[in-house]
Amino acid sequence: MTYESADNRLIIHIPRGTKPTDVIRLPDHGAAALIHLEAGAEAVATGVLSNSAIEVILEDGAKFELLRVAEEGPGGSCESTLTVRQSRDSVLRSFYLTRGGRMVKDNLYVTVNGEGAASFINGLHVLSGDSQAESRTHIEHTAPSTTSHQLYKSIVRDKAHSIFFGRILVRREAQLTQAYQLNKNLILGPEGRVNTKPQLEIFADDVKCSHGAAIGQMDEDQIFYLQARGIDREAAASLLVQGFIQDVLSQISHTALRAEVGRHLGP
Amino acid sequence: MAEDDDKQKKSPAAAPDAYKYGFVTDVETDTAPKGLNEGIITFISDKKGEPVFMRQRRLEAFHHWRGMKEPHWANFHYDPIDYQDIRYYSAPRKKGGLSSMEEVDQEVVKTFEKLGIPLGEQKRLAGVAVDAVFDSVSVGTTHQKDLEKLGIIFCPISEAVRTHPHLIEKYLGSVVPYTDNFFAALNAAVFTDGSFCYIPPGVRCPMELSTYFRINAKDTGQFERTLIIADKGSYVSYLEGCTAPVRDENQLHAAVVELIALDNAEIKYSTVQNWYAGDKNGKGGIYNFVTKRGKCAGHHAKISWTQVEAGSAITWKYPSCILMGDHTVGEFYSVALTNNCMAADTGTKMIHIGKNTRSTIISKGISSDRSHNSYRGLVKIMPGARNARNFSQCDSMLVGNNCSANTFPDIQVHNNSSTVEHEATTSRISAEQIFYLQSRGLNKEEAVALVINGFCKEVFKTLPLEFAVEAVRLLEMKLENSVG
Amino acid sequence: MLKITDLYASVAGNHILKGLNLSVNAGEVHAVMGPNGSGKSTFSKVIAGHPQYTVDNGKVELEINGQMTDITPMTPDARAREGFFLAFQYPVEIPGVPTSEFLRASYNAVCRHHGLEEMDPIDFDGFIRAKMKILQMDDKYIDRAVNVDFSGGEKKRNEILQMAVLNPRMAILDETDSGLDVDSMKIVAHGVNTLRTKRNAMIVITHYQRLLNYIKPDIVHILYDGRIIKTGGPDLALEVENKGYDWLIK
Repeated sequence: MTYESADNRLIIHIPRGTKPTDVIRLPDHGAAALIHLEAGAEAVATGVLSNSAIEVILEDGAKFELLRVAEEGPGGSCESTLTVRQSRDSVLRSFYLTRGGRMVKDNLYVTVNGEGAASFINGLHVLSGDSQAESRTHIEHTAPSTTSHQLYKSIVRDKAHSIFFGRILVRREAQLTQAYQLNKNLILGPEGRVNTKPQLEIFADDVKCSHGAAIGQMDEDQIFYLQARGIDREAAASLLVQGFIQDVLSQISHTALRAEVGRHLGP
Repeated sequence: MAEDDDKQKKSPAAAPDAYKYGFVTDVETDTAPKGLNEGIITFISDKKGEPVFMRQRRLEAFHHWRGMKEPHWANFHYDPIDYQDIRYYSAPRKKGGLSSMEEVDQEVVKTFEKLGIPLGEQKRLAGVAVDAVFDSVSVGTTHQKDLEKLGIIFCPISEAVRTHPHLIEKYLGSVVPYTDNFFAALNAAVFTDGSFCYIPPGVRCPMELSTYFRINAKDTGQFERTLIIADKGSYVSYLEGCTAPVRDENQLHAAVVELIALDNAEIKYSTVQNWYAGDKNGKGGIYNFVTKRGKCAGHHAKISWTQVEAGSAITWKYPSCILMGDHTVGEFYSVALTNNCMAADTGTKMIHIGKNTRSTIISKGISSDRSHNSYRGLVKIMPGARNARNFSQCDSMLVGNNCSANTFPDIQVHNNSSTVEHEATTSRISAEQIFYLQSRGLNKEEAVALVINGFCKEVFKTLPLEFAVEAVRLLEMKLENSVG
Repeated sequence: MLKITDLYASVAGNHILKGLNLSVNAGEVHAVMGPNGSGKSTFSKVIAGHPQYTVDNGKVELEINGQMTDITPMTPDARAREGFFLAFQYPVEIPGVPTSEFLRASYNAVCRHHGLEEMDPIDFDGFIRAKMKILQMDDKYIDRAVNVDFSGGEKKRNEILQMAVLNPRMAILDETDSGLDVDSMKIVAHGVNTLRTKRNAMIVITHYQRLLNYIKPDIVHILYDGRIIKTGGPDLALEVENKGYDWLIK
């Protein structure tokens, strides 16, 4: 593995077939990085980032897992971008976490460009006060038998505002593609707001694509079930919120990264 | 003003598509010259014998429209429309005075008969009152007298403007103001005919009310305007059908439909749209730019839209519901089929304002050949719409590999007591599926019908029976040559 | 243990229970049978305190610290902490919440209420695994989210497992047999029978007599149109099995 800096950009190069065991720590704030995994390479990376632009190239059979945490104070704004290009049989796992800010925005572009490549793209907004967060994902399938799976969740307390804009584009060549996208939102604050635009654009006929969006509150049947087992309402509600988050956290396959998300979410 | 004898016969380009409504009726017409200016608007207003307020409104709308830009955000492209190259008025010549069925040109009556809409007293359809609109005028309305006994007003809107000016002044433009969008402004300036319905309090309209729109004349735009008012506790089911001749040129149809449901009233509005869609290379066809919107103004009101969109070169249409009253309900059931080079960008808007409002959206898009089919929808829950609920299901089916199916929902929730769920899937109808069904003894048409029927079942079941049968036949016919 | 007096209850304005009376003593197992729509599910939901159901009249008294106490004003969790348990007909799925975590939270809530020491995760793990053996449940299952992707049989076993963990004094089993094959039913019934003591009581709600071959009731009630219309011994259940409900309704 090599690190170099060019034009204020960090370049991380993982040679063919190598699998560094340590988690790569991306430097904080204002980071621009190119991460290049050659064929068969495997790596895990994470970074607490505000404004950032990360580019990832995954060659044939490469496997990469990335956790990005966008951390801003309540009044701060930042915008991050992740661009990924995937070759044959490569696997991307991306997780984005933010607790929001004045305006915290993420843009994610993935081109699933090699047969058999798979992308797992997940995110979580945990917002309170009057913070705002926006996640935009753009997944383009340009090769046959590719897969993408997206799960974005948000918890919106107080007057917070969560925005999700997801686009799946399946090109004519991308037959036998499976693309799935789900955006689930829990509005807990009386003035909480959620906007969601899950979009599908399909140009190939032999594909399985679906998307869903749900916006709601605590499920009263679930609360009742827990209460019927002696758990009081407040504890039941907190258990359900934990469960809501757990569902998306379980998408992170690397245990150290999962623990890291737990740390950022705090008690 | 100018007269135009339209002698054009059925275009040869139509043959392979078998659009059976593609004939032209040879009829003497009163037409306006091409172009749009204050003079034309005054001409239309004079032709209709309108009161001053109506003419004023048309002119205001026209002035507003001149400052607007044609919208181009939808998911299709078309060559620029030259609004000065369109005739805004064309009407079959009347032999005598005002509307009586006997005075209508027999060619026009025959046209409607050929379309399956007999207008004469003896032959008229039982259980369905029909208002037949031919180009810019209504040529006849059946069952009017029976309806009058119940206090129901069902007449051409141009007649209502003269006979019920107070209702028109109060409600026309109250749901879709001319400032709403480019095509709504154009329509408000030049609308020619359409239907007007008023259902008095507590009356359940005993028959289906329907309007059949026919474009016949060449170079003519049709600017239909429909207004339906369901007063407190009333119910009405309304059907709309449309066809046009086969022509090589595109023709513009820019309609506005407004529905108003007061306390506890229900309006069910069904459309089977089969305008000429152009030939298989995309030549000709109707540009269908329509603004349809209903307002549930009173509490417990309900508005339900069902549409089967199978025609037009371009469809741009979002029948919507403004759920203002508490406990109001909005529904949108849609099947949109595109083939050849057609493009449909259709969907709905559900605006939840009142408490405990509910909406349901079921949209089924079928695209084949080189067509583009998009669902575009907005669900907006305002802060005051406590306990609002929406469920949306938007499914697409692709037939072949040169078409596209798109889903563009926009969901905005601004309170924490509402629940919104949206689901969308894509699937396909394949040669293997059809072969499988054929190997079980179904013929190809039956096999296609079976698959399509299954896909669209939830929407078809909301249509009045005769319409449902016709809708299925229409889709079968359109898809016959598309499945591999 | 439980005394229901002249109970009227409604849901969304529909009156379902219309003067129900029932009394259960410690050590007894009662069966409540009835045709569809007789009010069986409403009965269990009302006793458990489901917020959608309104008690219009009457009392539901549970023995708490030796005193018969009206529980109708109590929240569902307060009832559960006082030793009341409902095995749901349709257990709710709770995605993301591991079964083990849920059970421990529930168990500790009850312990806290009674001033007993709470159990840490390691001790609880041992405790729960022992209980699971009785119900022949796979170890993996406690790591899965509550009822999510459980089969019908697994969900019902999970209900009985919770009963074993919480050790209630008064339990209602709401159509625990529905959706179970004979083998699963035997396992569930065995679990229930091992929990039967002189100090607790149960009401088994069922549509069919089948379950009562395995969980033998002391007293059988027939519920119809929101009232108990007949009460008898175990033979009454067999009679219903043979003759149906019609002869009782006329």
